[in-house]
Amino acid sequence: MTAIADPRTATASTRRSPGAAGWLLLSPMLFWLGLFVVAPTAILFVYSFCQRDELGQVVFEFTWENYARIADPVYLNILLRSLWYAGLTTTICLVVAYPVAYYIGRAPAQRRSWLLLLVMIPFWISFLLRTYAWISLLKAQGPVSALLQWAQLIAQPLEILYTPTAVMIGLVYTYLPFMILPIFTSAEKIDNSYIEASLDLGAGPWRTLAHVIIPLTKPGIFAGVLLVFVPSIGMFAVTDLMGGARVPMIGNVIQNQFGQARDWPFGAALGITFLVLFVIAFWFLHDRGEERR
Amino acid sequence: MSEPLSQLEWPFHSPTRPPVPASSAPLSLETMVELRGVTKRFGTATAVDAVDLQIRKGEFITLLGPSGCGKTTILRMLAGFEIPTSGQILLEGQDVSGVPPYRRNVNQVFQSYAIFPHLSVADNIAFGLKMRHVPRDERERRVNEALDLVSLKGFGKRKPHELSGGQRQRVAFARALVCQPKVLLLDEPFSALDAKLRHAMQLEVKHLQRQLGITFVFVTHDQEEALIMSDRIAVINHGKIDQLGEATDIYHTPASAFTANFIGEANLLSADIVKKNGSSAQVRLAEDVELTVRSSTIKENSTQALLSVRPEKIYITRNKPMKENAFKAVIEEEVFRGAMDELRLKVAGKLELMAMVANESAHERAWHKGDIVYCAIHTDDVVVVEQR
Repeated sequence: MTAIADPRTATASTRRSPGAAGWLLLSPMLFWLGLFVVAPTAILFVYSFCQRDELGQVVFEFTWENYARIADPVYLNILLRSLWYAGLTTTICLVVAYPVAYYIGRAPAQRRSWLLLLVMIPFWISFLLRTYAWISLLKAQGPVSALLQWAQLIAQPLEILYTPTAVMIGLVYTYLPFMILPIFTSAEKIDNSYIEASLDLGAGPWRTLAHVIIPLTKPGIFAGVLLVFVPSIGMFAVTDLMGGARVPMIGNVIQNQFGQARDWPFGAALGITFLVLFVIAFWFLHDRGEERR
Repeated sequence: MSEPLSQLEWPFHSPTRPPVPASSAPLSLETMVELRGVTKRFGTATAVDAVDLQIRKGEFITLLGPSGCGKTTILRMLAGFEIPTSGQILLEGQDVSGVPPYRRNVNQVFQSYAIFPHLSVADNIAFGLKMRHVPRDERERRVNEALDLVSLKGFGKRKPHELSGGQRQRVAFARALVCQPKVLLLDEPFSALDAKLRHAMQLEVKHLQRQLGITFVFVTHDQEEALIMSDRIAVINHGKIDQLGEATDIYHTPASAFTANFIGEANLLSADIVKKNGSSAQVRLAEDVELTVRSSTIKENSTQALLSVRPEKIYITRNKPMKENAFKAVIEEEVFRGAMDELRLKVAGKLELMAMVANESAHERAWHKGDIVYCAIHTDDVVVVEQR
């Protein structure tokens, strides 16, 4: 009668501390995490409380000054703008990616792998090359402009490059696959009988989408939102290249501190602030996700 | 992982429900569902081939057949998941052939149960009512009634993954029945349960159906399940109805070799027709082995007939019985099968027969390999079937 065990009970009974052999097996992973995640973060954390001399060398003297500077309206504005751009990018990506991901996820197995390949192909080309490609596509003398003028949809050459619109196009293009893939993974797993059961119980296609399909793809949506929102806040290459550095984002500011401005402590403070914000946001999203399950 | 006994034993005792009589008032002859020449093709393959079927109001009808015979496709067309290539499906006289599933007053219990994992038990059951805009108060009342009906009172707040397989199945029944469908479709709902629980559920669901009076269309490949549960059985083979009738008819007078073989066990014997006289006929199985059979199903001018004889209908005796339809045989093999002994017999040195005899004594075996015995078969138990 207990052939179908409660999964929670099963997990609880098998969860225990790893033991000596377990720690040994875990050690490469722990080493990797320590070297590439914990150590750099710790260095960043220490730097964020340091000062710098006139030449930009880090001076190990404690100060809150770097964090105090973040509260400056200039930086707060840039931060808010970055959040707004990242939020908009995430929203557009979600709206565009969901139907695509769902379609791929529900497609017959063979067509599915072809469609997935099409989503992945851009990754084979350097990100910078793809961004430059967009620049030449969108520039005033570029093919898009020419086509639109030929079709008499616009009278003047296209003036889209180095505007916020171009930045949005670049950001959405860059992060779209990161939204498609996790949602695809969720959609692929939905057993067809859930959809049929919903239709059977009187829900039309739209209500089936709202009450069954979207709730069941929630893990994918959460993952996709995180994968797009988090990196797009810190993105500086697209904003630099396609925005012509006219609309600085927080990513550009941070990059600048470590580059031209040579103010590593301030850059570190910005980075740490971001990290904390992300962790809080992740906890929030994660808890909501757990609750929904 | 031990669960309170009361949760597991739902099929055996249900304190909240009065006992249900095993058989109820005679079935109505009104037609609930009618299939008229329904054909379904997938590409070049014909899954369902010009099926005509009338399903009566309040009956428990089973579509029985091997996998790939088209029974599930018929069910899916009744649900609205598939649209017939040609033909009509009428629900209470209305043509619903092209009506989508969400606009049909028909519900299904899925083989996998398809309990929504993101909703609680109560929300799962309330789903259909919510989609039909039933007000909240009434919804809550009906959900509680449905939980009570399937003896899951107090389980409303649980999540599906906290339930056992049997409990999930009861949620699936409650979720479908709470919508008060005209027809309940059941797609092999017991296939995931272990044998004991399955049998208990079979009887319980049969009683539930009698109690509610809802038309049940049940799909299974398990002949025993079909015999236990159904008022009528439609045996399906290669997309066609091979035979339609009550369980006892189908078992005792199968129309074809396929049905005889698929339901229970059968000796299929080809015989030469010696002579026909009125309602009976004389057929020859082998040299000196002749049987008298009913001639009603023998075609005009045919010289050959295919006979079906159930193994338990062959009476084995030591001494030559004073009956017709008796002949000598040798026991080739004796197989212990629990309640029954299976005897492999050879007649006239070539004809092989299987007989089942009750296993009466634990201490000594009645029959042994090599014994020479007499077989007797009642004329009514020899059924002339069609070769298909």
